[in-house]
Amino acid sequence: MSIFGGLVAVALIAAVVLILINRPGAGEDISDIAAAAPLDAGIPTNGRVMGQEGAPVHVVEWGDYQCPGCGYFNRNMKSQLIADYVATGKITFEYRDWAFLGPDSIRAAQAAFCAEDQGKFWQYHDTLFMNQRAENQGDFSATRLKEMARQVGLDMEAFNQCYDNETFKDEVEASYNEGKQAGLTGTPSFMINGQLLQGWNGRYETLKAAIDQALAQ
Amino acid sequence: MIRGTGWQTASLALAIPGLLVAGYLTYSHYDTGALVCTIGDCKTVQNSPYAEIAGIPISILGMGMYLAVIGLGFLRRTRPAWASTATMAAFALVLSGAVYAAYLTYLEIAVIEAICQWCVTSAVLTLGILVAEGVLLWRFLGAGESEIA
Repeated sequence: MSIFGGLVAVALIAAVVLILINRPGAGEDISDIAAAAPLDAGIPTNGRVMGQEGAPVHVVEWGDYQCPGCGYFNRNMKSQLIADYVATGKITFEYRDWAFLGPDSIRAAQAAFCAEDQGKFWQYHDTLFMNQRAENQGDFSATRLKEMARQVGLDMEAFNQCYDNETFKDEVEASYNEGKQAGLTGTPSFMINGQLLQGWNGRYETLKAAIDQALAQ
Repeated sequence: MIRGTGWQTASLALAIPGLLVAGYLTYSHYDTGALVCTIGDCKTVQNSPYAEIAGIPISILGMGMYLAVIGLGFLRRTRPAWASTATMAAFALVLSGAVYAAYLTYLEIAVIEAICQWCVTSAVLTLGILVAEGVLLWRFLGAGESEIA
């Protein structure tokens, strides 16, 4: 029986080692990931632009998926902006990448392009900000980005192919260069009808006032 | 000789389809279009972060286990002097594989929330081989090492 006990012990140790290796490590933990709700079906979207075509004012948010201010805006102010201006047909709202904080930012931006390719940009975008944690700690590792995609309901075969092949690498780079040329110094930055909103203080009222001013013109 | 030729045959008879299933899962890991799934959602399981260990598809581990069981089975039949060692090695290997397969099945149900019919097939085959190898080992231990070779 000692032989039997020894064999069982060896087998169990081997299985436990395999299980431990197979468990997601740092930056690979997916247990905390949750998907954001889809955008209200009544809001028209065209890729990464939301709002009724022909709205008098076009607002662009330049953001980085790792930027805490962008996360705060997205989680706490965007729904108000949508209710006040997008749903009422006053503005169209667009998100553009200015992925400048590191590799996690670039990966997340590329993944968002892959989601856009499947017509689910906004839900994936919101999911990224909802699952934002510390900067460059692997929060936007391939494993986590793919889990977010899975929870959003993307076609995983197409998403994996798009993400793994860095299909939108050039687009993310081009967007960064465009932001640089536009004079961005940080995120989130807003452009209202092409004009950069200088010195935004992070308050919704300030953004609202700038949009109202553009609407009045 | 180890008594129980029927169990030895059963072990081999289960390991061969197991090898084919693991081989198919490995092939379809790299060519996802080849994955046919009539029950469950194999693609979700195949695309999950648990489908690989350090970049290696876990189905390759399965192929290794089934190949080893087949190899040890042939060794047991052709080299009686190695029969006891082959039986112990096969049992330990398959017990390890069965525990790991149980963990993977738990992941499919509780974490990934998708079932892969081929993975479940492989787990059931592994369980069957474990029973066969367990009986062979039990007989070996009951007979005593002197009666093995």
